[in-house]
Amino acid sequence: MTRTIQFESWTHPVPLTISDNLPIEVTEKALLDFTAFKNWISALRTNLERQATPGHTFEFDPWVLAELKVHSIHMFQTKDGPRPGFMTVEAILHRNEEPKVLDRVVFLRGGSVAVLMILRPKDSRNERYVILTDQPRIGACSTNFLEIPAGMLDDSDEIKGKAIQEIEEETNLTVRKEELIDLTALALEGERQDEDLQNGIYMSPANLDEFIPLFLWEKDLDRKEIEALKGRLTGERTSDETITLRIIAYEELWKIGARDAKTLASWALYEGLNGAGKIEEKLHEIRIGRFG
Amino acid sequence: MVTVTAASGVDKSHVQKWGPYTRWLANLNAALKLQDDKSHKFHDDPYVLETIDFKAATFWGDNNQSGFVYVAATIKSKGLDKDGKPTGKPKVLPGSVFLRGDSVVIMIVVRPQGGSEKDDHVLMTAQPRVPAGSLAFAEFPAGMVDGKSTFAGTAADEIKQETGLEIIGSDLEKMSEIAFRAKKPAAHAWQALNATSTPASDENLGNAFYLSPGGCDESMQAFYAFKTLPKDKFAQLNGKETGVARENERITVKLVPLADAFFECGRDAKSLTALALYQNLKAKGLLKKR
Repeated sequence: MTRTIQFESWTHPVPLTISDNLPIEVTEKALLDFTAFKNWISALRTNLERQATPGHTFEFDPWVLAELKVHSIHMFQTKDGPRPGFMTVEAILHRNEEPKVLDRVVFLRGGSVAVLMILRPKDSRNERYVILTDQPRIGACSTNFLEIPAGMLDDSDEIKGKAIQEIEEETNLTVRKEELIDLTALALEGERQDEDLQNGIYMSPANLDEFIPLFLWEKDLDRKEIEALKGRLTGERTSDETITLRIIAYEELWKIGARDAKTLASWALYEGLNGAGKIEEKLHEIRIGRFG
Repeated sequence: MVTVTAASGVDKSHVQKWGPYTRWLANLNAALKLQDDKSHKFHDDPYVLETIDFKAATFWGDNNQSGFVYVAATIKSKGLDKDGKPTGKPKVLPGSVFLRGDSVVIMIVVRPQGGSEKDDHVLMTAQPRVPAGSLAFAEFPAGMVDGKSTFAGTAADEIKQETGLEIIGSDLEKMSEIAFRAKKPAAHAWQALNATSTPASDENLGNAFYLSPGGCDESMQAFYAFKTLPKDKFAQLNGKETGVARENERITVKLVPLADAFFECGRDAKSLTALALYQNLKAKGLLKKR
């Protein structure tokens, strides 16, 4: 039911147990070609090595990676052929003192990027509207789940480029890279960074590697352009998703988006950074053409 | 009739009796049934659940009731246009879901005895989170609310161990429930413009938020609790790393000034979400005055 190979790209060879009947032949190279696995194992390695830093919690009895397992793989059909999309793996770490074992299953799927899109009608000073996507979400068992627009990061995606692609695909609005404000990077500025972690929000770090950099795109538009966006059905993308757009008043975002963690988190970041004056600072730079 | 299969090594009948799976399946069937309504946007070309495959499963604990199951479901439509004619392009939903059941996050605000609002701190935990590759991931405490309405789980145990605090039912303000009960948004011209089709009822989603609604069933409720600590205990905890190793985790408990919470938990979705709910409900006077 399983076979074991040695995972060599580590400080010492680690036994890697592979379940039978997986859709690809699992080799060390195949795993490292899967970006989500590569990023995860690299972060784990860096953060385990940091245990040697004087004063580290585990300095005198560090965790050591003892075993890896690959349980299942789900393939995506891409333009370059079938490639791993999701992977369920398990990591077992050991140390000498209690607790001696850390055994964790990980659902690897890589990151996504999400955008808080705020539209302001040119003829008003105080009105703000937010674009949400409405689509079926099987995890939440809903045919009309409301969220801020988001998309999965592929291997070759540059994050801002992916954010722009999502916005343009779903709204036909044109976005320039300079107009995107990285909310997570702003929030994490000046943070004392002891670990190698992605610059994004981790959605459920007990089980998922998923991280989401959150961007803000705040734009003044003619009222009739905003009107034209309502209820437009977008679909027929390669992933066969059917997405409808909804436009809501910003004041309602926390309630209408209340079932989606990234929507609420983006609201929290926007409000927090806005309160600290950081959003207006960035918007000003964009307006006068000085890009950070 | 849905075909259910399991990978070798997965106990199919155990999964089929497991709470999180049965709830997920029931909720999914309920959502798909809503398509029967003529006003549902997918009524003309509804999605149908065809197959379920249990690709991997891990169970532990009493009666193997704690666990995860990775499910691959085939959910697709016939590909009909609004006149009922086949287009030859069935719509397919991404059907990979990691099932792990529900959980809770608690924002515990702690005040030193004799202090005031400006002294308020929030209690945070730091622990290894292997999926993030992290050995010290900072979060608001997460866990379960048990049958006695008490905050339970390894974080709860650690907090009680380190602070003496036990969070019981009467301490908990259910922020998720309060938020959902808050008045419906006033009718707004912009929302009227959006009414191309009536959104399906989402009552089956419960008063919770989903962490990763595309690929994970995890729904979470946010709670708030307010506690006071004796001044010396407060000082001892404040900024100091504590934690006795328990079970398979080492959880550090620390206090962070409320004003800094945002920056300390900036990478954790549930913590930011709980903070967002707390700030909004507090501003609207929907939480108890302290």
